[in-house]
Amino acid sequence: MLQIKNYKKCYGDKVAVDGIYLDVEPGEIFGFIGHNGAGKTTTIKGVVGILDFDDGEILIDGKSITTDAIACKKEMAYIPDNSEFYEVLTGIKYINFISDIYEVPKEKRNELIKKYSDIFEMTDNLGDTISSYSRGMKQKLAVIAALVHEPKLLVLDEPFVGLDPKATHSLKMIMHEICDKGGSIFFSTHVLEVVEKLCDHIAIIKEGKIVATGTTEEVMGKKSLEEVFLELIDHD
Amino acid sequence: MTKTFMLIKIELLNLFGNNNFARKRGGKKAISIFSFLVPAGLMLYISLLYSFLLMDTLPVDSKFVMPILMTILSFILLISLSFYNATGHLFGFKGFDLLMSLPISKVSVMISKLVAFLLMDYFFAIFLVMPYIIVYGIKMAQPFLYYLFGLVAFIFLPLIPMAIASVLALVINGITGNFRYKALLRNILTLLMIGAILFGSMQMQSLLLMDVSSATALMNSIKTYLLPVYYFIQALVSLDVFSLLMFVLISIVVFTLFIVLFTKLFTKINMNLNKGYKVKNFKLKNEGSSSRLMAMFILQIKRYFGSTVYLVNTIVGPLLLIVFIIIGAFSGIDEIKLYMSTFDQNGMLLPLLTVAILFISSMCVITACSISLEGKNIDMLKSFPVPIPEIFISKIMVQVLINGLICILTIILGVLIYGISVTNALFLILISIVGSVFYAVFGLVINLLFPKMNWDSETIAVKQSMSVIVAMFGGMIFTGVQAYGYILLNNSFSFGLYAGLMILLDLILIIGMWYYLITIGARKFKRL
Repeated sequence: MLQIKNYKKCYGDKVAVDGIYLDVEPGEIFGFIGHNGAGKTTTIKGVVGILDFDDGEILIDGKSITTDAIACKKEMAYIPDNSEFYEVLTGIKYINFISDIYEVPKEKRNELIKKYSDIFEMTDNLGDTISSYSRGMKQKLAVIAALVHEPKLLVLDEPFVGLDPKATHSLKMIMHEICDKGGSIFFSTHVLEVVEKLCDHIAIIKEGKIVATGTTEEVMGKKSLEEVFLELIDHD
Repeated sequence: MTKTFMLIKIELLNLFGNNNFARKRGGKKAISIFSFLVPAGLMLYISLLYSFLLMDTLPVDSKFVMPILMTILSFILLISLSFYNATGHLFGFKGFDLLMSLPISKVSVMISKLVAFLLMDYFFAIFLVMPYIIVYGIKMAQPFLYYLFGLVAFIFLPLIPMAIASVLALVINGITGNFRYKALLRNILTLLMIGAILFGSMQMQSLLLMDVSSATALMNSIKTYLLPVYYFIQALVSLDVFSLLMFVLISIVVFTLFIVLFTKLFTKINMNLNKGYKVKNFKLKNEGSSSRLMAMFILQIKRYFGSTVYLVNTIVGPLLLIVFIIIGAFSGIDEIKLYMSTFDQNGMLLPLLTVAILFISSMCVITACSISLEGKNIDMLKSFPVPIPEIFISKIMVQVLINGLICILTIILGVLIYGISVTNALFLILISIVGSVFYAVFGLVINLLFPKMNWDSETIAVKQSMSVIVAMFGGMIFTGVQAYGYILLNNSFSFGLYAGLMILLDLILIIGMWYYLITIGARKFKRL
């Protein structure tokens, strides 16, 4: 579903991500972890077509994000780490706007808006302007808007930040649901327990390079993910 | 105190640092400096020229009318400029919660906001007040003491306009605070207020026709209704120490009263403004759908009407023309028709109306900051499956719709009220559509060349970014060049042929700029 081949991104002289390779298969939840500034967000922004990159190739369902960006973007949804919105809109207007952008048919969008806004207990708040939302509500809105067009690939940057425990649980369930239907999830987080329990595959990035990748069991071996992570990050 | 100074420094960087020359290199640095110095020099030149012209126009025994006129004008302009900027700087600024949570006293936060705001007013006052004080001093051969009085008066002059403007902004924000359509109501109230200010300033033109006795009567009226202005003028014209002291005292008292009010309401108003509207008993209904382009366009329209500073900054000029046309219908329609028929006989009516229409469009460059206004939303926007040219088109459509509608309404009023012929009207509509598209595309190009994505108040992106200044002056210069071209060539070309050639030139430039937008512009957009 997602193939990252030799992805390299520089900011001036600084190499932010240095030729990484990753594969996310259909039906897989892929956790992407690393310390602050390791290159997670730079990679994610490359995947979702926000950033141009210096070398390599990123394929979404076989299509290149460089040459066929629109087709790739239609297949996926992105939830950024700091959900920024058009705050003059109400929640419902924003979701409807996203549905228009992704060309979701009328009946389908109404069904999915109801389904996900009920799950995240946002139905009563959708008429409010986004500027009145708390951080957690904005994050819930971002999730609903991402799910309303049924993406094949869900790319999330720190998706659990700001969510209450119930919403966190709901999101995890939905992630499984998407994968059961053949979709894929690629997400970054600092919450290693979540990665340990949720992910099929893991990649650890350090200073722009992948230092460990494989199935969760392969990466962890007989240790906890926290131990593995700290060993790799501390090891020069 | 150190913390207060630190905050003031940050505020000033926020207000003026967006055109930071020091960080730019090579050509960009030169363009930045040029783009700042040219408008600044132009404003100074216009202000000096206007003051000199006034002094030369007024009869010998009525020269003192000049400082009266200019002081009232400066007061009005300082009130409007402060009013524009109060929301976003004093109230409703981003980062309010964070600032208030820091171990800094509320007083420090308020002082930093007020000092930075006041310094911005002084910046405007340099262009508005300094030139006429100097010109009056030179023309009337005033002694050194006059300049000393002028300096003291200058220092205290912005206090009252700033206080009045901030209170007006407070009142409007207070009224609209919990209203569902608060953006709409705020827009209407703001436009009404600006209209009232401009109407007041228009009335001042009659001052120029006054004789000495009327001017003395006027001074008496000013003494009754605008006491600080009276003392300011008396201090300058008569070098009266008592008047100067009274002006300083009144300014300090008014400003202190404002500070007291500001201190009391600072937290409340800011909390209110940062709070969005919550609907009671919302029920989910079936939502309709739109095409992708239409959805983008509707979003841009909501963005435009949702931001008072954005709307007011681009719509006031064009709306004024409509207001003037309507006012003209009630006062002096026969005189205007006479002028128009004279121009028509000389073959100059259509060229003049064409320039007026193009001038409206050049004042209404909505696109000049439409990319900057995406701010932190830009990443989200780039992640949507929307081709970049489609994003550009949605932004262009807003300008063409708003500007085109205003132009067409102006032309229709021209037909109905002043009897402009239908043929001329159709030609003007064509010009207004081409002009709207031209300036919209031009604005986008300029915004991509001078983007300002990091701002904590929309005012910075709308009013203090390089792209807006360059687009506005660039547009006016382009209109001016086209008009001047006709003046030079009207012996060799009929207006019809000249206008046809200019439309062709505009279309070629539109195509050229559009090609730039979808190639280099799209790459620049991706890098934002």
